[in-house]
Amino acid sequence: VYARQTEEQELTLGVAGSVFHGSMVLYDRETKSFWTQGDGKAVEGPLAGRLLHPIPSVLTDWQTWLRHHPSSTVALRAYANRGMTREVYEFMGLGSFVLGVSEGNFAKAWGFGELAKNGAIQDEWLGAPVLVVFDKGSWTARLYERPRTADPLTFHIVEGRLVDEQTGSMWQPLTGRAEAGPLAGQRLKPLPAVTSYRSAWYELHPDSN
Amino acid sequence: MMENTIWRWWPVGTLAAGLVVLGLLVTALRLLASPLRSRRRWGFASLATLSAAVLVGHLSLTRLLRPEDFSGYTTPDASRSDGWTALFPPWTDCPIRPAAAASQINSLELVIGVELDGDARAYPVNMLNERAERKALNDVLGGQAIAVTF
Repeated sequence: VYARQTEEQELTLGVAGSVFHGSMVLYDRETKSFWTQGDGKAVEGPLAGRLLHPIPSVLTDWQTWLRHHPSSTVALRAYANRGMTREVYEFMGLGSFVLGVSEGNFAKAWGFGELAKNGAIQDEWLGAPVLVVFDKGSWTARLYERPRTADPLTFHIVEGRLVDEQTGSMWQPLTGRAEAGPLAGQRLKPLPAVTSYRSAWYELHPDSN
Repeated sequence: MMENTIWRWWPVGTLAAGLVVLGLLVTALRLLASPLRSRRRWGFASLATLSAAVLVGHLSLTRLLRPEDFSGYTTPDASRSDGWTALFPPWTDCPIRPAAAASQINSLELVIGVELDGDARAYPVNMLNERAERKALNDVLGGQAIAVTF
């Protein structure tokens, strides 16, 4: 998911209909530049070299999304194909998926296998402390900034719940909201990481960890 | 005529058709010259049938289909000086419904969820995945213009 507003104009994106390094190619109607979908980068045309600003999003299943966002709207046009369900993770195996984040030439990814084992991983992204969290109930992964009090908070899964070590507050892994404890009501800032096929991720970001 | 990528290949098609006609003539002549019970006669006959099929196919494509027939696949406002023309116009008009009115989505289907400025919206992956031209949706959420892609 990307912002369409650039400094000069609002872009309208369409499918250009080809594949470049395993990533779908988009075009914008305004300048006819080509953009790769995986990294939001203009690879050809007047805007070549520019990056679209990524918007945080989450890939999860419908019932889980609804549970946490009951007043959500849905973009819905009739469709028949029902193939992409949570069962693809079981079918293809957790090893086939990563949660990845990229910016310019930097990219980092965490395998679903490792995430399913640990639940919460403290890491760094572009020099800032981040939290990678995996909800085993819905097989959903998210990336958040770790807020600093004096030091950045560290998180653990305790009895299936996401808890920070410093204050003992309890956090909802999918929304990043503190539901109980001293920090209740606060929200972690989500970062624009995407759930991707492992092979597609490393084809587009060969230098990713 | 030239702005359409399919139509731009017409000289190649015409050349191919010419070769086929030439092949047909040669085959017919050799067929007439060969003895009636020769095995080669059947070889020539099948070659002639194949050539005729290709010719009929080519003629029906070029004569029966006009450039207008491809117009649904082109957007006249999206072509470049290098001859590239968009096959699909950008998708900008997806209906937005409250979640309660979306009973047709199965509970385990994957969705892309976005939350902007307090507004939450889900985009079913299967909807974005169904047709090539719907793999990118232009939307506005929380006052911000976004593109949702899968």
